[in-house]
Amino acid sequence: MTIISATTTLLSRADGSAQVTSSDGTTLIASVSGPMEVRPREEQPLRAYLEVLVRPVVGVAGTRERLLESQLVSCLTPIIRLESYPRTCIQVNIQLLTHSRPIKTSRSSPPPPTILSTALNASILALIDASTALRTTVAATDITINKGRHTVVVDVFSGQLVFVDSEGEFTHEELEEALERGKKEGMVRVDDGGDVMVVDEGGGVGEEIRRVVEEKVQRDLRWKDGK
Amino acid sequence: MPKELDPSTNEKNFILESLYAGERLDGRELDAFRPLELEFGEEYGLADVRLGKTRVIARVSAQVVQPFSDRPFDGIFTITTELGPMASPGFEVGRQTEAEVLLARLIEKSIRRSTALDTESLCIVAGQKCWQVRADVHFLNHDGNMVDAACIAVVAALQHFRRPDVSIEGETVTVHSMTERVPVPLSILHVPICEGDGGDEANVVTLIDATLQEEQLRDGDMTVTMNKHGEVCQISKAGGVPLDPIAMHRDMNLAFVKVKEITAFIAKRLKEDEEKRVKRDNLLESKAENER
Repeated sequence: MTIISATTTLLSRADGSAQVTSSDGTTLIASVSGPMEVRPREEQPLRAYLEVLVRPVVGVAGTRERLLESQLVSCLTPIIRLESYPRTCIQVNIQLLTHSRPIKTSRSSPPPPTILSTALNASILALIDASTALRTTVAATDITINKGRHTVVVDVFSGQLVFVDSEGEFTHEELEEALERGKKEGMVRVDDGGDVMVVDEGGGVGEEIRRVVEEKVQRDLRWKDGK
Repeated sequence: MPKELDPSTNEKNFILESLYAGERLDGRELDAFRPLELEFGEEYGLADVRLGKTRVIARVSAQVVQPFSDRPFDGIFTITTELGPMASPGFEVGRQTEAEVLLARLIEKSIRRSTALDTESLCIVAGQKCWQVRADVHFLNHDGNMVDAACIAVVAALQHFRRPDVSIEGETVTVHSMTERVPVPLSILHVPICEGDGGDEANVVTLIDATLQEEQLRDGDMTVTMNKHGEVCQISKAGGVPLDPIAMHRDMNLAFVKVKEITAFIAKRLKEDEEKRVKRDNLLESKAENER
């Protein structure tokens, strides 16, 4: 799975936003608001409250969306520096737009795993766009080996595993292989000097995310060129 | 959730003073719409409308259900509008504000109650099976005038949508896949377009397509829904400054001009999309309807 197109800063009312289309036909928009006022019930004295809301394109949010929300929360919590924003709320909104698989399946069936990885990549881009303090940047990929599907989320710099969600039948070796492949796809290549190397071959998701962020930074800093 | 910020006194005075002088903050005429953009999705029935910074997406979908027992010959058409926190952090999930209810009712009244969609054509087997067409409206960015944007999105998505063809043999109904038979467009009787006016104290200034700031400062508003034949589908004037009949007439004449422009714009975009699809999918001469 690769990112076909990604744009950032498309919604003026949100602090950060990104629209991502994946090679499997999933398109969705993520927006980030925050740090902002938190509902008193959810206020935490030492850290920000992270809220993720997923909305389907047809119908209202049900069990599938709740599952996706909880997966996104558990994946994003260690990445965002929540302790930098005590007593506030950081809200991530995901609006699904299209998906290649029929949307109308029973409400309790699990969401196709590809939505999770696209949602995660879009959330990361939106969080970067919102200038939220992050510990690192992560990239999510989908790996299918035989009957098992794995959503693998890795740190783009170290290749460290952040999150994995598997579905179907698979052996331990297959899972190891999926993790290895996910690491390869998600990492950006850095040479010894610490500078990022220019790679000719089309990289994986990690490289894609880096390209999008690079473009964004260039666009944001064009005032410096004096043009 | 944070409350929507009211414009400051400085902003308020500045905007109002300029409006009295006939100027708007974005340089538009008082009776001009913001640049309207309309894009369709890869699949049928997805319309993405941008009105300035306001952005609304409408998705039309259909499924076969049993009709209501009191209306056995009619299909079902529903519109769902829900304001989420993506449009503006001020909107909370699961809690409807008064503005949201008004907005949903207004769109419902403009499109569904004016029978823009011929629900009788959605009947498959009377009393047993019919199509349920639903339009989900998603508000992505709130910068004023969401009613007009939502209305344009829904009517465009309805016109763009194709439902699978069905064939009936006795009691059995076969729904043919999109690749098996050319999908059928919905039967649209007319295209209603909303047009919102904002007025301010003592009716000194009336403007069209208010931005969020202008909406926050206005003393009253009116929304007229018309189609290109000049038929008024509904007028909504929920409180605010009173409006005399002559001013109302003037506003409606103005609305008629805008409605014709917008309808033509939607038709143009639909045609462009159709041509693109024919070229891409090699659909030449494959049409569900007969030549008349």
